Amino acid sequence: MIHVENLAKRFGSIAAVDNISFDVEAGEVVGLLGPNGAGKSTTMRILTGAMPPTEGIVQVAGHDVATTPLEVKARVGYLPEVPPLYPEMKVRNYLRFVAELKRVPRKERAGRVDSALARCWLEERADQPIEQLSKGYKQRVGLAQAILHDPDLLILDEPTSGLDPRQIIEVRQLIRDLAGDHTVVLSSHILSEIAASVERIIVINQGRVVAADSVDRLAQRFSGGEHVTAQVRGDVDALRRMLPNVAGVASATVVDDPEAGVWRCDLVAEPDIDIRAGAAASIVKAGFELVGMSRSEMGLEEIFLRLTEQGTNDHAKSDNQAA
Amino acid sequence: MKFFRGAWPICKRELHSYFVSPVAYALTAIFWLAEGVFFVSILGFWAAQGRNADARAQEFGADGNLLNVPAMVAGAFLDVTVLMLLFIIPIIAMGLLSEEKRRGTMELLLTSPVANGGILLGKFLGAYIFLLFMLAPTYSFQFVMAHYGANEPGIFATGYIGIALMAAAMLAATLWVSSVTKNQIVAAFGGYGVLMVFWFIDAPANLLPSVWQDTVRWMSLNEHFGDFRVGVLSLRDFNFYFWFALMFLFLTHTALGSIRWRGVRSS
Repeated sequence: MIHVENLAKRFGSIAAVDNISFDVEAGEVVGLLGPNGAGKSTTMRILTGAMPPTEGIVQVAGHDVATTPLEVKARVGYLPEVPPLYPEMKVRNYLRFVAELKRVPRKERAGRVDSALARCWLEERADQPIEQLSKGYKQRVGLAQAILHDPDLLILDEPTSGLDPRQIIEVRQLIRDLAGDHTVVLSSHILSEIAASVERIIVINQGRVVAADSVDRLAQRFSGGEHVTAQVRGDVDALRRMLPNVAGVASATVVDDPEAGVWRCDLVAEPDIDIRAGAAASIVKAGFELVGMSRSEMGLEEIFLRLTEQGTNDHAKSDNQAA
Repeated sequence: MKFFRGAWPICKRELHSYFVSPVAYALTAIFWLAEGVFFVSILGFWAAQGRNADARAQEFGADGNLLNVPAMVAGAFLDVTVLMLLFIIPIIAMGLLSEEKRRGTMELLLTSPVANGGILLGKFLGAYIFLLFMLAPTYSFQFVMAHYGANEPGIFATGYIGIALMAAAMLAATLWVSSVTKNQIVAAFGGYGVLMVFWFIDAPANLLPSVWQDTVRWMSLNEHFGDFRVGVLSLRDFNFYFWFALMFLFLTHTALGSIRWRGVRSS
């Protein structure tokens, strides 16, 4: 569906995007991840056909964005970071206007508007002016606008930014519903957001792709083995001596005791080994009380930090100092 | 037409936004009220002048009607209307493109199959039609004069053709200002600035070397209205307003191209 090859976009001497390549298959849900200013929005805007690239090939459904932008625009629905709404218009009138702009044939317009209203749960608000809607509803109107002309590809820039948790869940659900018939590319700098909605992530930093893979595989790649956290009651010195000897444990550290007498231990498994059962048995057998145990997968936060470390060390340092 | 693709829906939406905007209603109300007040006082003033002139003439034994009162009233009223336009047009035009940029709706236009020419024409026409809607009722003021038995329909007709042409030229200039900023207040004051420059550009004409005098006079928005207000239609004046408007529409088209290339944020 999307083919991006050596894409670069420069504004004067500043390179917003510097040599990006990736592909997205039809029906995929892909997340663009990266710190603020990494080039996500620029990449997305180029994908919509709104902005020509400086260099490189960008194709959407086989159409080049630079030479046939109209073909691309007809196939792409785009929700910018700020939903493009006219506050004084009523929701239905606004969607009618968008339908006309997107050149939906006159006969189909009313039907398309109704179905977009229905899909985004906006029917009750259809005749209300947009300025009276809450932020969550405005976001839905933005989504309705993006799906109105039934595009093959949906590009959503920060679709949940600024929403409250309930609205985030609603919008996420909506995106998941839409994902069935559309290819979706969404961006976010909120990691849990990406993890909840997408199958594959493309991490962009400083205008370059630094990683592109599924969330699970990225986690595996960077964590090495599995992490297990155990809460154990007992003598801490004996615990420290005993834990490294458990079969399959690569390293073990006793972190702290958040509840008095119950120690939190961090165990790292050797690659591809599930140590939970073995470790539990060993701990109990050695006379300790096992209070709890859980597997902690490496968080996206951590992957994100590692992938974007390069070149942003200065920021990291100053952040640390501030903390 | 490909070059103007998307103009019609944009024009309709723009018009609609004027008709739901309290600012536009307030502006229209003030305009109509002020025009009415001006017309009545102009009429009163020239009627008195006319009576004085007739009385003076009779003292010397001549017949009355030395002063063409309807022509004086029409001319003065057209001048006032044009001055009002100078104040109103920057307000009408200030948000045309700057608000699209600030609200992020420019993004919608740029990602839709709409040509720059379509955005340009839609915006221009939307605002222009609204302006004509504001101006139309004031055209009927001449019937007040007709009621009292004296009218100059010819001067009103050419005058309003001139007003329509000058309004288009002014609107094009202020539309361009609106395309280079994100802030509509800046756009309004910038619009006043540009219009003032082309309004007063001929003021120092007499101080310039004679080769320049005709040029600066030709460049003045105000100077070209002189013929229309006395009932004359001339191609020279028509050409000026036409090319003036076209030049600023072209500049706006260029600005839109630049927005497309660089994105809204950098402006």
